[in-house]
Amino acid sequence: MLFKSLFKLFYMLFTNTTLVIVRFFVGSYVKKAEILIGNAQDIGSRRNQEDSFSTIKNENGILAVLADGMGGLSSGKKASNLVTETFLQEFSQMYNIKSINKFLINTTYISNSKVLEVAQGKNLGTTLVAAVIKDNILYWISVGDSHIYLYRDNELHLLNEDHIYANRLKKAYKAGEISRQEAFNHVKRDRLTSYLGYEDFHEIDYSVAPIELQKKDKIILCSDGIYKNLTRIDLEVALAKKVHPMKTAELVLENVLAKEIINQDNATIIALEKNK
Amino acid sequence: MKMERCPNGHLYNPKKYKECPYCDEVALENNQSSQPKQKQKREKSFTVSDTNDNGAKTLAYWDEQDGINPVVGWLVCIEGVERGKDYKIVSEKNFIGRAEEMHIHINGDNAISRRNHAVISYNPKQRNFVIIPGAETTGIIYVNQEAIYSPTELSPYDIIEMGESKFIFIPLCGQHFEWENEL
Repeated sequence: MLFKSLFKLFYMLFTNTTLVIVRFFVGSYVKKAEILIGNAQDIGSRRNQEDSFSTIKNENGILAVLADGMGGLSSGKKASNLVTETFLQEFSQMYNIKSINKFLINTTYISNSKVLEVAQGKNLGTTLVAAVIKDNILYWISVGDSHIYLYRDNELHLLNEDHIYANRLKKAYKAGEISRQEAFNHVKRDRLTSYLGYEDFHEIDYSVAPIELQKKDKIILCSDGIYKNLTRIDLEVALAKKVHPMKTAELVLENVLAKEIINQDNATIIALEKNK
Repeated sequence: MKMERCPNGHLYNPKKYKECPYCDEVALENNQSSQPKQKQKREKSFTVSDTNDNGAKTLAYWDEQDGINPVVGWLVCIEGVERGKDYKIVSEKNFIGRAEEMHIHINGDNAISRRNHAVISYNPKQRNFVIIPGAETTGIIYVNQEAIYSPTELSPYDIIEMGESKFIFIPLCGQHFEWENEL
C-alpha cells in the first residue's frame, strides 16, 4: 500500500517537472520579434471627443492611425472617424502592399476626398498621423499638428513637422523677410496650414527614409492635447519606465490630466513598442 | 496584460471596463467613479467649452473668424450675491440671465430670470450701447434709479439694477476707441 502511494507521488513529480521544463524551452523559442500596442484617450474639458484613433494587425503588418478633428459642433468627430475608417479599410483590403509610403500617401488623398464630400461646403477638417510597421521597418505619414515620436536609447525624437503657421513665420524670419517680433507675436501663429478637408491641401510629411526599428524602441502617436501640456522631459520620464505600452499610454495620459489645465483639449495617445 | 480589442480597433482592459470606453464616452465617465480621486478632479474643473486657453478655437490659417471675440465693455456687480464680479460685454447682443449658457451669466440672484432677463446690445456702426428689458421678465429694470420699459441708451458709469443686484456699466468702445476690422 505504502509503496504504491509513494510510487504515485514520484510519478506525479516527475511528469510535472518535465512539463515545466518543456514549456519553458518551447515558450522562449516561440516568442518571436513582437510589437506591443497600447492606447489611451480622454475628452478633457471639451463638449465632444473629436479625436479618433485605431490600430490593426494583419499580414501586411501593423497600422496605427490617429486623427484630431476640428470644425465645431460634432463635425470634427465625423471627419476624424471617416479618415480613421478609410485607413483601416484600405489597409485590410490590400494584399501584400509593395510600397508602403505610396499606400500611406494614396490613402491620405482618398481620405481627403471623402472628407470634402461629407463636408459639402461646411468648414470640416481633421489632422492625421498614421504609422505602419512591417518587417521591423517603420513608415509614417502626418498632416497637421498631431505628433509621432521615436523613443530610442532614452532619447525622444520628433519625426514629423507641424503644419502650423508658426513654422512659415520662422522660415520668413530666417530669410530676413519679417522681424523677430512679428514672427513670434503673430496672432495666427498656431493656426493649421494643412489638414484633411481642405481642397488645396498638399503639405504632407512622411517617412522619406523609413526607420529600421531596434529592440526596445517605442513609437508614440499623439494629438496636441497630450504634447501641448507636457514638457519633453515629462514625456521622456514616462517613456523610460519599462512597462507594457498600454501602461505607458495610460501613464502619459495621467500626467497630462494631473496638470488640470483649464479648457484641456481632447487628448489621445497610441504607444507601440518593439519588445524583442 | 490581457487586453481586449474592440471592433473599432481600440485596446482596453476588460477587467476595468464592461465595453470599450473609447467607443462610448459615457462608459468612460461612469467607470471613472471606480477611481474616486480622478472623478473629484473632473468635477472641479468642469467648464465645458470648445475653446482653448486664449478663448480661441482650433482654427485653420485661412479661417476668417478671428477666434477671439473682442470685449467692448464690462458690467461690474457692485451690490448683490456676485458683488465684485465683472462680466464681459461683446459686440452686438449679449443676453443676460441666471442660466449658464447666457452671455452674461449671473449666478445666485433668484430675482433674475433664467433666460433673457435683459439684453445689452453694442452697435458697432453707431458705437453705442443699449439695454433692452426682456419681454417675459416680471421684474422691472432700473437705470440710474429710473424704471425702463423700452430700449434705452447707456452712458458710462450708469448704474443698472436687475433683480436684487446692482451693476455699473463701463464701456471700452465708443468715442475714444474701436476695434479695427482685419481684412
